Amino acid sequence: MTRKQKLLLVALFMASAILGYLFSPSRNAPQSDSLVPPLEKTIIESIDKRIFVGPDKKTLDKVPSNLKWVNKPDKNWKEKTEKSLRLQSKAVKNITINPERSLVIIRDGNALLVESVVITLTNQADEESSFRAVIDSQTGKILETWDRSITDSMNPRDEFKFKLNPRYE
Amino acid sequence: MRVGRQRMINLFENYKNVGTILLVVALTALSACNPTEISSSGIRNGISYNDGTITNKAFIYRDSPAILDNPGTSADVNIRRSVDFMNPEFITGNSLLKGDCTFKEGLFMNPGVETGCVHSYGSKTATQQLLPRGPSGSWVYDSGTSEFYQVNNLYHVSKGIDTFFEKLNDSYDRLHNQLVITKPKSIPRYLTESKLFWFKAVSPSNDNYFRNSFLSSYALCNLELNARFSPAGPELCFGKWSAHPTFFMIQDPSIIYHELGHALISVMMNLRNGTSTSNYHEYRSNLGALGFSEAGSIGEGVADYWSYVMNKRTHIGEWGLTRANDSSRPMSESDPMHIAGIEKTSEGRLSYPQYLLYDPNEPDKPFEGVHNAGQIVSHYLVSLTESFKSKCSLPTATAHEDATSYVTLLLAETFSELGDLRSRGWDDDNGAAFPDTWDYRFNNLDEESSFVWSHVVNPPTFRRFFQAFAKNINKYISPSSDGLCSAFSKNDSEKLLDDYGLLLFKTYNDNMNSTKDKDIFFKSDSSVCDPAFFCSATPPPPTKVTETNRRKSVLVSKELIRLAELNVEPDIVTYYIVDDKENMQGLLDNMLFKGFPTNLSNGTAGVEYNNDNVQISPGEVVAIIPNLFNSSNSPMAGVQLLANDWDHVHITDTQGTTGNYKPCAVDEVTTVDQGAVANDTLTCAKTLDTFRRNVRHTVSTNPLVTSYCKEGGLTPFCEEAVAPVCMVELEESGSTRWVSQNEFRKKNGLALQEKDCLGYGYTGAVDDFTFNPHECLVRVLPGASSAFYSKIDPQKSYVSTMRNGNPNYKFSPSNAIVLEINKWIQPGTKFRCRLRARFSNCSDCFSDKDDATLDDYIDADLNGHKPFKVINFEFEVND
Repeated sequence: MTRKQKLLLVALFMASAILGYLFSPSRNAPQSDSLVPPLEKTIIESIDKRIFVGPDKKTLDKVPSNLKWVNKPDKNWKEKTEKSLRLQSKAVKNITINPERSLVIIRDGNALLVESVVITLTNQADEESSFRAVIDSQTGKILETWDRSITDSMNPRDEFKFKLNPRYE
Repeated sequence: MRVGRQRMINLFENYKNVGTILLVVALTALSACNPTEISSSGIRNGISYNDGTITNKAFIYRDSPAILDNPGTSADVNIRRSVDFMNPEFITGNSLLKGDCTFKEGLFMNPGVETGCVHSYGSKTATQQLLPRGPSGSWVYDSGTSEFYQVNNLYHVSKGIDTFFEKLNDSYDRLHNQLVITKPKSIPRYLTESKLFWFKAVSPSNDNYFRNSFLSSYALCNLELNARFSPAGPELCFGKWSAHPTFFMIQDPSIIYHELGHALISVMMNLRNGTSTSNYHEYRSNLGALGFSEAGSIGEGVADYWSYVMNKRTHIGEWGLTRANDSSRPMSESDPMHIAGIEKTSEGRLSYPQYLLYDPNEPDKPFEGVHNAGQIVSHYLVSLTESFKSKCSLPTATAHEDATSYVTLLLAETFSELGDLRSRGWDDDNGAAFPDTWDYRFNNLDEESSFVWSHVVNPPTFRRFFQAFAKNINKYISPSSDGLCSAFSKNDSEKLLDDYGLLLFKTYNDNMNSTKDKDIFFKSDSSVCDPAFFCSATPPPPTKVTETNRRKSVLVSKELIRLAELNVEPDIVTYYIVDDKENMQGLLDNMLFKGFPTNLSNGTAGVEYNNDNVQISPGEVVAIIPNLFNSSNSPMAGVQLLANDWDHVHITDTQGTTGNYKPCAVDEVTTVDQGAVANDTLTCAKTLDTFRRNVRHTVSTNPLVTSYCKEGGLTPFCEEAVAPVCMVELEESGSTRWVSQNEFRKKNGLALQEKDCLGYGYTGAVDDFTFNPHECLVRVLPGASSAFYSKIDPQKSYVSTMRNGNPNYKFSPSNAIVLEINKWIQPGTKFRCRLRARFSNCSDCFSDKDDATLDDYIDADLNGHKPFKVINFEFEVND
């Protein structure tokens, strides 16, 4: 057996192992209805704990075949998100990102790995606010937010406002 | 009505046994030690003897010191003076300080019980523990201690929750079991299955989405002169006043009920967002936005109303909102706080939009705030309740409970329809969930875009909310056959709405047509009529408002709104630029803390480039306040200005490599000579019925996978898509035309790589999730893509309306649209951003002028320009 043939054999074995893993009934993730191409290891490791959200925002029982995976998980996604938030504001004292669930959002054959989280911020006075967000599992980019705090200040006129440049006066 | 003193003077009047007397003596002795600051160490159960009469009970304050003791009670209050030591109240039968919720579908139905649905805590800490019941079996603690406030917290929050469930149960029973079973309805039949009658964590699963199924309520939050509801907890949080260590917001039950009201709105808005515990929509609906909005105002008004439901008083915050700053609010025109002229007559009602900025505490200083505008909502709801009390032959003893139950039914129906992210809006006659297999959608466009539709493009406004609310009055209250109160007729309803200036619609939009096609509609027999499936029935016209009932609600054409011209009024400009570092950073700080992260483009733009020259310069992050001008003779109100992507281009790239486009000629500003495509040709002739914001699109190579880009499915760009609002002027071959930013960056000598574009992420190109090369140079920041303006006076601009002679007036973050400007842009580059404006009292923003039925535009129409006035905001980038 030539070296090339050996390599091919190993590759075939790896592919079978991956496919076997993907379609194992013991997996928690939805099962595929057909063969899927070999996936990157990081995606494979990631998808078994993810919920698949398909068209019309329905949870899928089966993974559609031939998905195009547009990102892969990065273990530093949380740090990236925090970095992005701190780029926007240095006034925030603490940022806590609590993962709630990991999802795969599928749209038109594209699959995006995302994290659904609660982000809690504290200001310099240690006051809190929070919101939910969906975050790209690779880049840490925040894709959507909701469930924001509603505050009822006793002094609503003191809330942040901006004054126009004096040149406009 | 304000209630005066109710001091407990006859201490021994109701004592029934010696044990209770001993108990009170013991308590009096204990409370002689007046705490000056909150106790946080250890648990001090104030009772060592219990003859059984106070098992699971405690002594509580029924109202705030301002009501029970004296309106002028000092902020250095001794709360003991407000405690009712005569009648202990049940707190909870649980051994820990938490309450239960019970939702019953009907008298003989199995209840849905949510054990421990509310938890009461003191302050929020990492090691917080629920308070255990005292060894005596009671919940009595020394007045003024942390434990005492936690117990009172649970008492009042549970009381509010119990009242809500009584009313929700009643609504459910009426809709699904009693009178009106043959109408499609929004409160779902499957609430027990979905558990969405409360906050519900997903279970069982390996995730913890909606982490808690219970509401945490913190009595002593670290929050200065403030209170809040956080749906992500979910939690309530009642603040303090550092200058007065014994003053707490929790001491004012009207504030507790108000904050709980926000939580109940959150529940009602999400009643429909799952049919079982395993199919919740990915997001939840909320009411409100950054800064001022009519959605937020509705939320505040309804939350105030919940205080009225609970305590029957038409005033809120006599203690919590008054001691540090006079900001309590009335809910009735008869309140002595009001200025002269406000009274309970058709002419004297607190009407929209006249009183949108009215602050009864400082009537000479108009203020754009959700609490002020919300007063119109609370006053209307209280008046409606009073009408029900007087017209509906309700038993005197239960008139308040019955009338507020009717209103709660209307609120739950309305909120659950508006907040429906599953895009149905209602279920069939029998309450069966709308079949998921059907392609039809009737509310909020479709599931993919329902969140954007219901929160950005078409959020609840005074018009949208009261149109749906009034539709439900017609449906459930007024009908002579099966209405709850036929004496309150459609005419009565319209007149009352008009008294408040809220008759802002011409029809009730009750013909139930699809969000995608006006000819498809939901039939009265709960089937769907679709011409494609051989249904030839004509869609029914919507029920019209009787126009003679419209006296105060003035509607104005959208053609009369435009950008102000320079100096049309003294010192007025077309748009204002905020480009100084301090203000912009303050705005970004505020946005983030309010939950609006913007994904700033690192390296290609940033506040560090801001130069405060009131011009738009390369690299800056700038806030723009387009100064809209009202050239009519009536006020315009609830003005919404959208800068999000919309269907205004025709994509000319047939190879699928650039996504280049030509603008559609949607008005007379961008003409064919300037590179536009006539609006009646090519794809400009129709509006997309889906909202797909990314021109770029990658699809599967599997032909079986349905592709959105059907014709160009295997290419990386769609042939049709919504596009960002800002185009750029390209000079080429001696002519100029407006083109996409992607085309410009490659043609105009810039040769910018994608990595140098604004918003560039590292994710591969797909749908909404990554950067769009058509906003490579100028990008509207996410979270700041729409602006809201409460009101524009006749023949005035927004800025002069709000300044009202005060040059130092400060503007709200909600007034601004925030742009990033790529640092690589050459000075002199011109941009045209096609923003879209409409407003709540618009006469021609909501139906086509050629449609004699006056039927509202369907949701898909909101992808285009017809419902809006296109506002062309132009600028040149300069150093």
